[in-house]
Amino acid sequence: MGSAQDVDVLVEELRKVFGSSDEGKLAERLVEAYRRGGAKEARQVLLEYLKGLGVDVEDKED
Amino acid sequence: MWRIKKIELEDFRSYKGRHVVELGDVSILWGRIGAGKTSVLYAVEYALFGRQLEVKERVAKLVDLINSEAQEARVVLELSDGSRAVAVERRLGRRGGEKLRVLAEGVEYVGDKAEEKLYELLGVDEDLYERLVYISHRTLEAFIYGTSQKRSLSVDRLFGIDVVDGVVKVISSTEKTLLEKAESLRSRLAAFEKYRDLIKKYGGYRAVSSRLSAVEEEIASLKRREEGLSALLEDLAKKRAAYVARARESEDLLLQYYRARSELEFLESAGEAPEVDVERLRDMFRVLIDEFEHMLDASLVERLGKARDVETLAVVLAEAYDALQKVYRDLESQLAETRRTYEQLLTRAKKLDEEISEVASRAKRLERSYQRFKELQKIYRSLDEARAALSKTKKRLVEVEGAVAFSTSLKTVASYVVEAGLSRCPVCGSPVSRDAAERVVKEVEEKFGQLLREAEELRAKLSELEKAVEELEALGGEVAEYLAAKARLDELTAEREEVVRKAIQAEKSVKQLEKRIERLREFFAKVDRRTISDAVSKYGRAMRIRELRKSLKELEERLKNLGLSEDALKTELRWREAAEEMEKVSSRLAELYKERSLLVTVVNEVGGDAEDLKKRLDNVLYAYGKLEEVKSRLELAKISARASLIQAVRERFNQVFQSIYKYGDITKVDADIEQRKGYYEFYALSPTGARYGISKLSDGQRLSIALSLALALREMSQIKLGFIIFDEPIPYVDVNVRKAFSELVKTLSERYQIILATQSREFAELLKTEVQNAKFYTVVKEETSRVVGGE
Repeated sequence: MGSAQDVDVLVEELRKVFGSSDEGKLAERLVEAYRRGGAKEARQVLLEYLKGLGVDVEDKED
Repeated sequence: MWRIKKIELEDFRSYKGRHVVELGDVSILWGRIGAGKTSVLYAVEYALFGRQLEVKERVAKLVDLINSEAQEARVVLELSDGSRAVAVERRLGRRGGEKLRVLAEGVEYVGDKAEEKLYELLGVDEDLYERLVYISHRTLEAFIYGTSQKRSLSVDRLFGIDVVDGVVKVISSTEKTLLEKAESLRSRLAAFEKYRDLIKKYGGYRAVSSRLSAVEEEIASLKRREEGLSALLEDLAKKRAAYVARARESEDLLLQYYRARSELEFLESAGEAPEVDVERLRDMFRVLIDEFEHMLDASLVERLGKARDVETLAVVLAEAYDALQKVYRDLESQLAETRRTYEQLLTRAKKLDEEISEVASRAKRLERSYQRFKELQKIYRSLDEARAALSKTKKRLVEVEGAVAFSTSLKTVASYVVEAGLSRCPVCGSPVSRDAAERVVKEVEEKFGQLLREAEELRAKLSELEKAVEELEALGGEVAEYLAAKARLDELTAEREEVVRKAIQAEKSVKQLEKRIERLREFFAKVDRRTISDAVSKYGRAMRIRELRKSLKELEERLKNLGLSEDALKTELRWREAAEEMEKVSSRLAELYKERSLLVTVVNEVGGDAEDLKKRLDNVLYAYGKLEEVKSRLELAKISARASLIQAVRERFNQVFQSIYKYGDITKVDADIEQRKGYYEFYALSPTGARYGISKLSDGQRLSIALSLALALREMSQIKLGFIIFDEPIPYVDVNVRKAFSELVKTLSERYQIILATQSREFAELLKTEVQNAKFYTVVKEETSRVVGGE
């Protein structure tokens, strides 16, 4: 079973669970980023998403 | 399927210099911990995947792969697939630069082209390699000895869905940060409440922050000033030494001098030449008072001219101002009254105009009748005289008509006497002669024509007179009306002339009053009580300045006589000024330090406006909720993916197990997903159909199941590699498991090239015994790691 197929199965299940919500898109992007560049890249995706919600995690002011 | 022929390492990890390892179908690397076994296995992985090792966190830093004494590491991997061969060379520099060269089928590829070619040939990426080709004890141990949870994680790794756990960990770590943020924001909001009154006093948090900056700037500026003043005071202190004793003796005089000087400087700092203002003001008043003299107190001008001291001048100017204000008010009321009169006159004139127009129109309408009457009057003088003439004419006509009738009768009788030759009158019987009758006839004929003409004329005259009388009688009323209208018209015209004259007079008065009021208004626009007060105050200041200058000159002279020169006085003055300023600066600095301390506390503890903090807290909590939701759904998706993947691999998994497990006590292996937590539930069926869960199986059976699953996945993938790497696969197991593993390796070696690294000499020896064609290598480390053997 190849990597591409694994992704397909997982992404397929993500789509079933999340539907076409923003959170579903986020989940897919997180999985793709993690596969591509590990925790570091996934974290970047998450931080971008949070910025969209008005939260800057890296902002030290808080 | 590609197998490894040769591995060449140069300055790679613990391998200093160049080392070559030629591998067989089964290669067993034995050595103690840290000898360099894993480095050989990493060399394979690095040659194939390069920088991906760092990205996937297989190594912390890629440069750590370079031997500590070298500047560059180099790995060459030679692979073969039957007659086909490929050589992969990868170099890594200290600065992180990497060079890849792939030689395949006589063609050399470098850089990205080489990476692409390598992937095309091998059909595997680092992730798949690490899951299904490079099998470490972590994979097997967790499966064999771990709990259901650990076993599931291990299988997730094989399936490649452990990425969900990685993502969940990232989310959890971020959630922790979010909770810390939320806590911090709550603390800030609490601090905001604590300092609410203070913040409000400053006009909001931003104002507090701005104020802090301003305070910092002011402190910096004052510090600079303080330094400057210290230097100045030091310098002045040296100069003071020469006269300080004399200055002490004249302390009182000096004090007077400085007080006067200080007051003079203060007064001078407000501006010069104030006397001009008050004189100009005085002139303005004079001009106006002259103009309105008849309405004002006669003595005012005189008193205004004489006033010299500040108090008298202030009183007189105020009095004059009030008097002019009263004049202004009186004129305003006069103007209002005159305007009312003027308006009334205009209204009356307009009304008269209307009435005149109406009467004139009536007179015009009657004028023709009046003219006719006048014509008739010219002829007949008056109605009475016309009536008298009429009566007279009527009477005369009767007489003439009587005479005509008599003459006619007389002629008839006389003619009859003549013709009948009568001697007596037929009427009265009196004697009559023919001659006399003929004479009578002749006389009557002579007079009769005249009588007829007269009667005719009288009748015409009578008719004319009757008409005139009738007309005069008819015109009488209209003539009277005409005459009355004419009389009224004269009366109205006279009144109008009078009204217009008065209106013109009123208009003139209005204009005059307006002009005078305007003069006063202009004056009051320029002059008010404050103007007077300012001017008087400036005047007073000017007087005081004059006095002070005079006094200072006298004091300077006296001090000079007492031995204090002008320079000494200047120095002393500068000294006192500097000392005074220094005190002010120090005091101000103390205030500012106190304020800064408070502001810094507020800024540090609050750090934002309440609304902004609340909004940020809401955002953080909302984001936290969203992440919790994502995490929970990711777990659900993972469990569903587990079920789908088990379904996909089920058949192949059992086939592989049957091919490597030769004992016949298990006829089938399979797995389900348990409902409660979604873990994998592996089980085996005995020939009798009895089902045994994983906990009921031996370690060797579990090992076989784990390897079967990995191999099944591998076979279902597109991997074109023909080797399996076991890196310390079962370090701490009993002899039975080792035995079982050795047998499995033997079976697997029929299909795959096996490279196995272990620190257990016993396990290595067992493998060598079990697998006849196995090559045995010893890895040792002295100054450098070395691989020896290979028999």
